[in-house]
This record gives sequence, C-alpha cells and structure tokens, in this order.
Amino acid sequence: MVEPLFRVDALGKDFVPRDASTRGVSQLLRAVVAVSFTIEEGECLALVGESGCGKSTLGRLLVRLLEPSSGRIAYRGRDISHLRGAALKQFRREAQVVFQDPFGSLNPRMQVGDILAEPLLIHGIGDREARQARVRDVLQRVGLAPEHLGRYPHEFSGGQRQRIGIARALVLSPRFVFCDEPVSALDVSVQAQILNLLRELQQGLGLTYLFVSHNLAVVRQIADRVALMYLGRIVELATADELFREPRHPYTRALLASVPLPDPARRRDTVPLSGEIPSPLDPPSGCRFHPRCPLADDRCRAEEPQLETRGGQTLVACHKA
Amino acid sequence: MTDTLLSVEDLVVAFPTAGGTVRPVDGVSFGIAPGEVLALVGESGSGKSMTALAIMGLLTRPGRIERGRIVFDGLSLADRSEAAMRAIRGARIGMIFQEPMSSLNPLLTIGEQVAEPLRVHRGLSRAAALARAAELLKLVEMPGAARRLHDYPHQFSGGMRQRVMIAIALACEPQLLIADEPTTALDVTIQDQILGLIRSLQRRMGLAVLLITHDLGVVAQAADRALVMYCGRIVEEATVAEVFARPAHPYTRALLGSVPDLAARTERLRTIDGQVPALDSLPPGCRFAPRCAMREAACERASPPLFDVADGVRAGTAATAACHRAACFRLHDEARVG
Repeated sequence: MVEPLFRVDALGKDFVPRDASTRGVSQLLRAVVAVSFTIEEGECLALVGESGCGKSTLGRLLVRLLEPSSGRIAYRGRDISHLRGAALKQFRREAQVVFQDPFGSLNPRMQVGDILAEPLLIHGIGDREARQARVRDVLQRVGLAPEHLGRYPHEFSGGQRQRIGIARALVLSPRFVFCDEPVSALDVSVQAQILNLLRELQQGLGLTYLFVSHNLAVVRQIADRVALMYLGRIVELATADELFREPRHPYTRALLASVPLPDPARRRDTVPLSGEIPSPLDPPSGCRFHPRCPLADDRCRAEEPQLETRGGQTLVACHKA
Repeated sequence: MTDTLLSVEDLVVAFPTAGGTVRPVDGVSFGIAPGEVLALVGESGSGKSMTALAIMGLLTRPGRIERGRIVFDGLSLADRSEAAMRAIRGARIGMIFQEPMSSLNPLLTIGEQVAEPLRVHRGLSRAAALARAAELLKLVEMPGAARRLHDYPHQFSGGMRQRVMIAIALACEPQLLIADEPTTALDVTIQDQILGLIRSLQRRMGLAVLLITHDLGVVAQAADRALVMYCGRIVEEATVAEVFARPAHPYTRALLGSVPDLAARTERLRTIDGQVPALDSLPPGCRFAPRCAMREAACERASPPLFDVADGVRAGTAATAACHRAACFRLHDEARVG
C-alpha cells in the first residue's frame, strides 16, 4: 500500500481563552477535536465549514504553523507533530501556504523579485544567479511577466497579488500547499482566473493541496475529496462527486441547501437551517449538531457519533445517516 | 409620478485627486417603485456602494455630487442640507451595512440603540421607545427579544447584530431600505436567514429595498429587478428573471459565466480577460471594450447609451417599468440589420 502524504490521527488543538478565568464555562476552547484522516499524494482535499468550525486551525496544524495539543500528524510516514528547529525548517520546504489576503501577507516595502527570492535565501538554495532564474521561472508559471519583478505589492490588483502569493509558495518546489481561503477576497471574474491557475499548477507540478474554503461552489470546482467540519469535528468525509450528489449528514444537506443559487427560477422561500452555531467554549452534549438538527432524538443528545462508514466510501458522523 | 418612490437621474459623483478629478459614479439613472427590491450589482470599483452613499448624503469629503437629480417621494435629495438629510435618514430611508459591529455603538445597550431613532424622529419617551424596541426585536425574530434589550453588541453573534441593525433601520417604518452588502460578512446558513428575514419584512411592510451586492446568487434569490454596474455606469437593467435568462451585455454574460457551478465540476472556468481599468485611466469609448471579446471599432470611439434590448432603440432615462436595456452598440446594430 502506498503511504499517504499525510496521516492524521486523533488530532486535537486547544486554546486557552484570554479571559477564561472570568467565564463560567469550561476553560479550554477546543478548536479541533480528535480528527483523523489521510491526504493522498496528488489529491486536493477540501476542508469546508462555517466560521469557527476549526478548518483553518486544522490547516495550520498540518503545515505546523501551530503545534498539536493531542494526537499525531505523520508526513510521508514520519511524525512531524512536535518538530522543532532545523527539522521543522526542512519540513516547511515541502509544505507551503497560500493565504487569503494577499495584501496582508506580502511585505509592502519589498519588491516582488525580493519577496520571491526570500524563501530561497532563507533555505540557502542556489547562488544569486540560480535564485534569479528560479524566481523568473515561477513568475512566468503564475502568469506574471519579468517586468513585474521590480514593482511593489501596492502596484498590483488583488488577483495579481494572489498570483504573487502563489508564486512565493511555489518557489521552493514544495510537494504540499495549504491554500487558506485563497479566492475569498477576490471578485468573481478574478476568482475564476485564480482557480484555473491553481488547478493547472496542481496538474503540471503534481502538487497536493489542502484547500480551506467556506464557499461550496468554489470547492466543487477544485476538490477531489471534501471534509466537512462543524465545531471542531469532521462530520462528513467523501469524494466531491459523492458529497455534492448525495450528502449524508443533515448539516451537509442544510449547508448545500443554503447556498444562494444564481438562478431565479430556483428561488427558495424556506430557510433550510435555523439557529446559530453554538460557542465552541461550551459545545452541546452528544452530537454537536443536535440543537439545530431536524432529525435529533435522545441518543443524539447523549452520545457523540463517530466518523465511520455507513456503507460505501463516505464517512459520516451521524446516528441517523 | 406615483409609481416611482426614488428616482436617480444622471448622477455623477466626483472625487478630486492629485492626478485630476475621478468619477466613481458617472451618469447613473434608475428608479425604484414602492415595494420593489432592486439589486445594484457589480464587482469592486463598479460604483455601486458610492451610488448608495450619494443617495443617503453620506459621501465623505472631498467627494461630492457633481451633477444629477435624486428625488425621493417628491423631495429632492441631491441639494439638501445635512440637517434636512438627517430628518429623512433613519426615518423615511433606513440603512444597513456589511459590518454591523462597526455600525453599532459598543457602549450602548441594544435596547437604547433600537430606541434611539424612535426618540429622535418620533419624539417617543424613553419608556415608550424601549417598549417599541422590544417589539421590533421580536419582529426581526431575535430569540428572547425582551430579555436581550439590556445586552451590549459584543454579546451578539454577527447574524444577531445584523438583525439588530435591521430593527434600527425599520424602527420608524421607512418607505425605503438601503442594504449595502448586508450578508457579505455572514456564514452561508446565516446569510440565508437574514435574506429570508429581509424578504418577509419587505413583503409585510410594503417596503422598497435597494440591495447592493457583488453576489449574483443573492440577486437571484432576493431581488425583483437588477442593475448591473461596471466602472461607474449602468451596463444592463432588467427584471431578475430576464437578466439571468437572457443577459444582453457582454459584461453581464461574462460575469454570469464566471460564477462557479455548485452542481458539477467544469473543465475550465470562464474568466474575463484583463482587469477593471483604474478610474484615472478609463478607456475613451465603452469602458468594457478593452476586455470585451465582441468589441468593434465603434466601441472604442464612443460610449454606448442604454438601448432597449427588444428593438435596439435608444432608451429614455429612469423608468421603473419592467423593460430590459443594455449599454452595448451591438444591440443597436443587430436590431438595424435584423
């Protein structure tokens, strides 16, 4: 059997809220709770969910911008959960990030050429000439021209800045890229350009993506598999085709039904999901979705469902699925 | 005219800059009928929000209305003093914005903030205004409305804060609600709840709504009619059913084509070549021409007016009728040839 690129086992991340002592609730904010999954080489796995579901935290754990509180992350068979120093730096060469806000993540005082050469410099790769050649190569790959090298981030549009952000992630020739809401800040026509680019790059370079997004239509266009999160847990994990064709978890169904479709002929008059996401500081007992679930019964209120197969490939955490 | 609540005619908003005057809104005309939901849709920099700010008299200096008429229920707004505008804003025209947190005062309770327009515009006593505030919170379906009057904004979620904003906006029973990206900062399930609430209140109160959004899904789900803006101009105007079934302007078509499909994965997403031009270097003719796959020589020379899509005849201004028009010379040519 081929070893997956990532194998994640019972991974958890807790935060201590700053004002925890003054609140009458449990002390820890459990952002990610005992999640297990794999990411296969060459695939795009999307993490989907609403604000506060833990999707970005989970992505940050995988590229080790955060250290896990519990559980284990294996990268190509090797435990990276608590790497430090040189070993962590070596891992980062292979695992890079594209951030949501390309403006906030590019140094406004640096020219594009220097921004793109910096990772090579930090990792001590090549001489000056080799680095310049690599920068030009990656710039062209993302659809920018050599004359852009001497310009500053503010001279670019949002879409072009995201191309620079992508180029910076790729300059070290990583195997894995964590894309954290990479098109959420972009206008729809530009969003389509960047999605096409990310798909081309994945195919051309054989990259593996973890793609975090709250936009289900965007996910439909890029993901091979989708993990849906709710309050720190994965509630459904399926191939994109399966998930969009036959969603199994009641939350997945409600989320899909909530997307405003650009088609006035399919206008809805009912709201598919009432209530709001409970605070992760004080999550509901049993199934975390039960207070909003139309199917919930006594078992759902008492017993937390495990993510498991209910026939077929799809994994779902629901007593009723 | 009784069938027009708000009419905007040839509105131009100007901002002086170091490099000369730019006009983020440049000759915009439209009307809203009582009880109608009109969407103003466009990408960043299209001028949609600036149009709304101009109507409300909230342009930040040195921005100003350079030209045009804004008439609301027989009153001219464009040349009204700030004091006179204040009597209309919040009373006869309600407003909600994208970020409810930055529109609410963090130091006042929700009850006081919902009660404020009632005390200012209606002269209600503190007790009467608070009692009415509780009713309004119930109207916007706030769970435990009466109990939450004494809570502060930070104690509410984003969705609940937007409900509070809607309660404030509707406190004085306005005729028009201007909603600028009201659900953009919200999660999709909450967005759905808020759009549903706006629609149901709009129907019950016979409210007209000017809905400003970049999201074509929101337009399709919530609006009766849509105006598509590009670079400060209206490029297409039609009922929502028409815009989605028969988009006439190449920009509208391209925009609709680039929306990712939820139903199936497409081989390659359609995009619009190039980028939106900067306001200080607009092309001389049609502003979309440099990015348009169908441009001809004429498009680069002159700016196309709005043509009636059915017969290619040049359209008049600011009608609220359910007609379909688009600013593209091709419509005119096709009509002549056909």
